[in-house]
Amino acid sequence: MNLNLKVWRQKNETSEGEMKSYVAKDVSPDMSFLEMLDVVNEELIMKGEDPIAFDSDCREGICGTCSMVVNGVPHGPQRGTTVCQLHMRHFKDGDSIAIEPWRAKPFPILKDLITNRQAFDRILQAGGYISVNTGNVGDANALPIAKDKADQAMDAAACIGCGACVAACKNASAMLFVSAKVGHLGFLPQGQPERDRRVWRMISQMDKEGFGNCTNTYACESVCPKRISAMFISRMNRDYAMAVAKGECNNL
Amino acid sequence: MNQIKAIFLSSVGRKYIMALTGAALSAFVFVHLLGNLQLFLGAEALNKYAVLLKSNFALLWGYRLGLGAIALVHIVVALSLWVENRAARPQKYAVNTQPYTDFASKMMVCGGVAIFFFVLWHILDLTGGVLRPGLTDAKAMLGDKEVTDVYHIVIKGIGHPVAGLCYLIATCCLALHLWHGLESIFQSLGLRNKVYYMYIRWITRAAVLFLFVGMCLIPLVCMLGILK
Ligand code: HEM
Ligand code: FES
Repeated sequence: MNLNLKVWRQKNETSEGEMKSYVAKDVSPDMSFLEMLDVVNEELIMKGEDPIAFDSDCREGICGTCSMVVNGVPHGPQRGTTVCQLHMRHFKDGDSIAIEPWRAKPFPILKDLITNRQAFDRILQAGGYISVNTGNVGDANALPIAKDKADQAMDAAACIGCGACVAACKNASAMLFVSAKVGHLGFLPQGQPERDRRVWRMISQMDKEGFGNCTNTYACESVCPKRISAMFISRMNRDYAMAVAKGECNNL
Repeated sequence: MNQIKAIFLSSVGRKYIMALTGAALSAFVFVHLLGNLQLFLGAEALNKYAVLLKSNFALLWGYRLGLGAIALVHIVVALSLWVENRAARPQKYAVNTQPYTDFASKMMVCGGVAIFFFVLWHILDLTGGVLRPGLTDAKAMLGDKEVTDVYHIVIKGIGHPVAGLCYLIATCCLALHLWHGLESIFQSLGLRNKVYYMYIRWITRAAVLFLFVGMCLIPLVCMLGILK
């Protein structure tokens, strides 16, 4: 099939970008979305033009590197799927496809579809860890954890940090990401000693980065490739109140 | 001090403020509606209720000023969040569909501002009586005392077709605001979870539906001349 692409092209962080039209010819329905772009890029390189720059790494939906907005939807129309796992069989011959980078002030565009997502790293560095000497691998089940707690911690830990939640939110809020990171440690006994400090520091850093504020719209959970639930945001809201009430905000 | 800053300056803290002030305003709106539905019990019931409301000067003004302050905080904090939210995405998407974003949540600021102007007009008109001279002067006998005839003021004031239409439009704005807002209170305060969320959703929606029907009924019966 042939597709009409409109792709955001931007030379570097400071230049102005624009949507440019390309035709993707002879696309196989078995290709992934990124493979389709690879083919377009090969043709561009042959013609001596600058290929479309985009992020990718694992291409199997687990690393969270790929990041593009397809026809207005982060990671494209298939729910619960990263764009690297999106297959071209979801499109029809002659379709027009607009491809854009994540758009949020804390995610500056570096080139074309590539954004700088270090804001997420800084939020994690602020408190998304536990402080223990890990030593040897402990015995399995030495620390009993209730099944439902373990399940919920796992659900939160599924976050791959891609940033689609920010890209989808009409306010560019990072609450789903932060709440998943706060949540997966907050459900486990190992996460308890630093629970208050973690939520206080991570939210403070999130605010400093310039993300928008949550308006409980839940577009984030709808586009999340790992289907992380916005219930974690509610839980984080409660944790933050507890942390502030216990005076965690006096410790920085 | 740090605690106050952590609430008033942080993203999550200001959501608590929105939720708490929103809950207080909603509580008022529901009580206000229940009180006004006494219109259907006849002139004496409503006029008696109006006398009761105004019987204690200190209580009345404490209540009015308190509610005004809550509304002011709700509005100022809402606008501060809104300004930041717009700044967080300086460049819009070329295909700006806002996926999976429901209409009610997109309308919170516009609808809220519409409600603000409506409330301003509503107070000046029916409470203050400054916009339509003579409207609020009507008197009625309650036992052997002469009191303000709120019943007929409401029927005449709200029964005017243009005024009635404004009430209907404002009711739509309010219902839409609370369609998103009431459920939102629970999320913002961290009370929504996997066990309760469906109950929260349907109970708050039922409450909004009740509010919508009740608030539409009053201007409709006044405009159509069903109550005289
Ligand atoms: C000028 C008037 C108003 C403005 C500008 C305004 C604006 C807003 C905004 C921007 C939000 C946050 C929306 C979101 O989180 O998606 C909000 C939430 C809310 N508002 Fe209003 N509003 C106004 C009046 C009212 C009134 C009169 C009521 C009650 C009858 C009300 C009840 C609520 C409730 C319950 C919430 C939910 C709080 C939360 O997000 O947790 N608002 N309002
Ligand atoms: S490239 Fe790793 S998730 Fe898409």
